[in-house]
Amino acid sequence: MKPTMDDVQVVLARFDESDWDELHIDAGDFRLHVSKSPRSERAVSAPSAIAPAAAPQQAPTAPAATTPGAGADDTGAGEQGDELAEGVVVRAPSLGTFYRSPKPGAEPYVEVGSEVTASSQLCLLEVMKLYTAVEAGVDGVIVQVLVDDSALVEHGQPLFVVRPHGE
Amino acid sequence: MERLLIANRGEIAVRVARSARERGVHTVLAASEADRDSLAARHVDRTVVIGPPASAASYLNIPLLIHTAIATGCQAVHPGFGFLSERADFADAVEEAGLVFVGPRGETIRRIGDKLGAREVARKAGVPMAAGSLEVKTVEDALEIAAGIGYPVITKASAGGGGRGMKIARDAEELAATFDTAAREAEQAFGDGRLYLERFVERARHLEVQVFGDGTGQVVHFGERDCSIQRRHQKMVEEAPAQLLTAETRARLHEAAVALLRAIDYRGAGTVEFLYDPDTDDFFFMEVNARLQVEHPVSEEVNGIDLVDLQLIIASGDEFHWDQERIRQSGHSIEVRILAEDPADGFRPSPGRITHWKTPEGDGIRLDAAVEAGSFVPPYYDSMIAKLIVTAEDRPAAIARLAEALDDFHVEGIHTNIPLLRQLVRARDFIDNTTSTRWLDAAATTLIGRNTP
Repeated sequence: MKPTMDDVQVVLARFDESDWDELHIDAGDFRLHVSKSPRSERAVSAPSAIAPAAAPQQAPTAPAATTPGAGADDTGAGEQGDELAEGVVVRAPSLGTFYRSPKPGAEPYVEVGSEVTASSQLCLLEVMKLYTAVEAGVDGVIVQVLVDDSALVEHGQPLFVVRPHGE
Repeated sequence: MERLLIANRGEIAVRVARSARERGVHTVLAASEADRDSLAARHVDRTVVIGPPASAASYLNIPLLIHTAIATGCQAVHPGFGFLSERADFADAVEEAGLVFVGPRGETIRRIGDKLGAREVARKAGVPMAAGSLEVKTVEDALEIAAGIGYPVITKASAGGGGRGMKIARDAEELAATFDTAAREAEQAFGDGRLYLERFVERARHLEVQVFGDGTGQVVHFGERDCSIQRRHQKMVEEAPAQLLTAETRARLHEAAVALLRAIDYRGAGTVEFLYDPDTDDFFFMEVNARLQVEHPVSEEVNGIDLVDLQLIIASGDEFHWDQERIRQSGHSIEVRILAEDPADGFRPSPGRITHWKTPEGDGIRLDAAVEAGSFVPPYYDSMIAKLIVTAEDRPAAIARLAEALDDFHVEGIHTNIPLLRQLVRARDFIDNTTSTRWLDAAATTLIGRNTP
């Protein structure tokens, strides 16, 4: 029985809901490998760790696009227009509102020039009051910050560029 | 309403965006990664990629959708059809977030979505139902009730459709043999093994009535549709009106649908589905679809209305007054669903890049499409890529124009059901209007065999 796209979607949904880290399915010429581990291949593109305990005080409601009709249809600041510097691109693991600091008024987690390690927190993403910390995934230096504070970022959107050590 | 979030994809996302634009409403599309460059994305003011292709992580993800709506300054959310459109928890979550859900209230969806609950509402509103039952728990109960209903009977799952949990039994022996299997199937498909029984009608037609309510008890209808051409319980051809009805039966059908939805102060677009037995001229309530349906265009064409526009009017809180007397249908409209499937290969889905897309044009021809030449049909979603709607002064003229239109419809790069549709509209049973809900399943192999490439 050949798995269909529907089957795969069901598997992905269940895996997502579970507390498993990895799933390997090998069924003849169908293979599926899914991982939530930061050490997987996707590590360099923004692994994340749920950090509810560190949830900041801020309670943003409608950041960025609070001026409807005022030409505000393009409020994904710093999106596709910006050219990416050379280095490792850290992308948003999910859609969410992007916060550069642990709370309003606090120092940003990183700036251009900041030294980071693979587990350094670079920013927070918030979806319906649930906060996720995005980690660098690689040791190096921040060379680019691509998104403004409080902007809505898309799934997969480039957030930072890190120049890894040794390059 | 200044800005609307479209929480859907494909053809209906394009459709909603068009009507919203005509009202001067800005639109935001919540798209998965696979739909970033879709035709729908080109019809909206802004596209936000909310997640990866998998529906569970995108189109079915309530927090992502609501967060996107709020963060982009939307006042309302249109759920389209499928996906979350009939999820009461989504409707509730949207409204709890201070947004308007373009559809019925969550409590309405909850009440009507449960088939057994809907039957209760129908019974109280005096709407005819198939001699059938409330929930049947055991084989013994089933046999007793079936004896009262009369064979043949069919078991149905309370929690869902699409054929799962459905078993026809022509006598007591068959019912005893299949009851437990049906319950297990329902349990596996919907997590709910509850069944009920109905009289089974051999030559059944699927008829439905398009209804609209303002949420305060004012409810009107826009006529009925005949959606009997189905493959494995999925509609492929729909038309308005249902030509086989007498004026008197038609009027009774409309009244029943309106009575049902008026009884619950229905808000928004809704469709009441019936099973019609042409041998006895009886119709029986089946279920309510508390959303805009795929086949809504045929009702639009014969009424001269825009149903999405009406949805937006209601959602805006604008008052309107309907005069049922003034609502009239004229002409005949037929819709065929264009599917990215290969009928000659068991209807296998056929995703891929469309290299050639030449569509019919002319009087009475309408195409609601999700794609164009060069589009990539992704493998992650259902296979409907367009709807061809043809309208003419009567059914024979509509069929003739539909046949011409299908002959002028050329798609390359992917397989479609167009070759099958070309044979279908020429089939004697279709032209004579003597089909039934089981017709296409039985005739498909023959029709496919008649294909010339």
